[in-house]
Amino acid sequence: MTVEADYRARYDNTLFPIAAKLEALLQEILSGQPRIDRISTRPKSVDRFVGKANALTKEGKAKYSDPLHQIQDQIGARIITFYKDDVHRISDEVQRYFHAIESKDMLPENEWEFGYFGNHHVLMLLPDLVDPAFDNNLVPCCFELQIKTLFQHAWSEANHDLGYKPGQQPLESDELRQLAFTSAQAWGADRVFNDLFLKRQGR
Amino acid sequence: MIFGFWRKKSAGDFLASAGIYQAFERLQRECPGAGYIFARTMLSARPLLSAGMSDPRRRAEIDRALKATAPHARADGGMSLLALQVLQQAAASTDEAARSTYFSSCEKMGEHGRKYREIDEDDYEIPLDAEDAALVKRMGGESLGHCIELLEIEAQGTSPAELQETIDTLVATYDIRNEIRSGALPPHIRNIQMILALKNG
Repeated sequence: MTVEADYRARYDNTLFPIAAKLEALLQEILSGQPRIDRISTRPKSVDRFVGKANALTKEGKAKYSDPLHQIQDQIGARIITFYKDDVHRISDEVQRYFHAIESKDMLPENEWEFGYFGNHHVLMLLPDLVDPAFDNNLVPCCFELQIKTLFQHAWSEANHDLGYKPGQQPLESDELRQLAFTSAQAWGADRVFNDLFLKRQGR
Repeated sequence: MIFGFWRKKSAGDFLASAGIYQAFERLQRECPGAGYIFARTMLSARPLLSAGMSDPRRRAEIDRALKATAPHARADGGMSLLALQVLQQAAASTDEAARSTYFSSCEKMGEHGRKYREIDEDDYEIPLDAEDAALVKRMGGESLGHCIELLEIEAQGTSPAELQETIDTLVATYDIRNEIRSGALPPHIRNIQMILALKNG
């Protein structure tokens, strides 16, 4: 079987129902938490998985030798919060239920750069989310969770839509700077909203 | 007598305490990086097992250590957290036999956290995996071995034991990435979690 056929079998038989159950569980465990704009989950589409699985390094070598194990966002979840202080509060709450294999705050490489910001986790799937009738070989062990503010989310969506895609002309230097500028604005807006929120809370 | 609600609970607790060391041995055999971080955490937390410490203080110290496991920057497969959860369960155990088994298992596991593996020729190869290559580049080197050499140069004045622990942790954390990617680690995490859950019935 090809990687595409293997992944399609996963997608059709297990990823979709697990993602739906995961979303319901996240909604339930975070139901008492304030300032959450939305919670969503999705299985990675077959096209996107195959695109990622076939990605090459700068040196032209295959990036993944075993994509079905190495690509950890086959099921992705996203939680969008109002303010920056909400991100780590929600992250702590989620980790009471799911074991984190990896957690990191995604930041640009250095303090003079602006770009993608977000809080990412690779979390173990709970056995309750997996139908016992499923073929275990088709079930990933983990899922990826992104927790972001509204502004971080808005920036990453637009950047994903406007930024470089395979087969397209790369963005020019000034266009890249414009994207960095919008990231800086989103960063500033998050900061102002968070400060105002803390002030209104008397903190 | 093993009948009745409380009896069942303490029987579950005893089964959990008895199974934890075997689960650790399997983890260490199949995922040595993760096994080392788990054991190293046990070794560092050894003062919390001291007979001279009161139970309320022991529990408070374990809670404090759990909160300090960097929940927003975890790169160890969650092994420190898992080891501390085992200690937390050991400290909460009210059954004498289970408690004593937990404590001696924790002591034994800690012994495996004194030293990780030696650096070999392969560690001086430029990583084939793009993410690993980017990681070592961010640390200032071209390979894991090169990064460790840089660390040794920069660490002048640090005690040899402290430097060795830093290097062992770095190498183990690096190895854990592969243990996660290969799919070898998650079943061990699930196994230890299931053993801990035996306590509840």
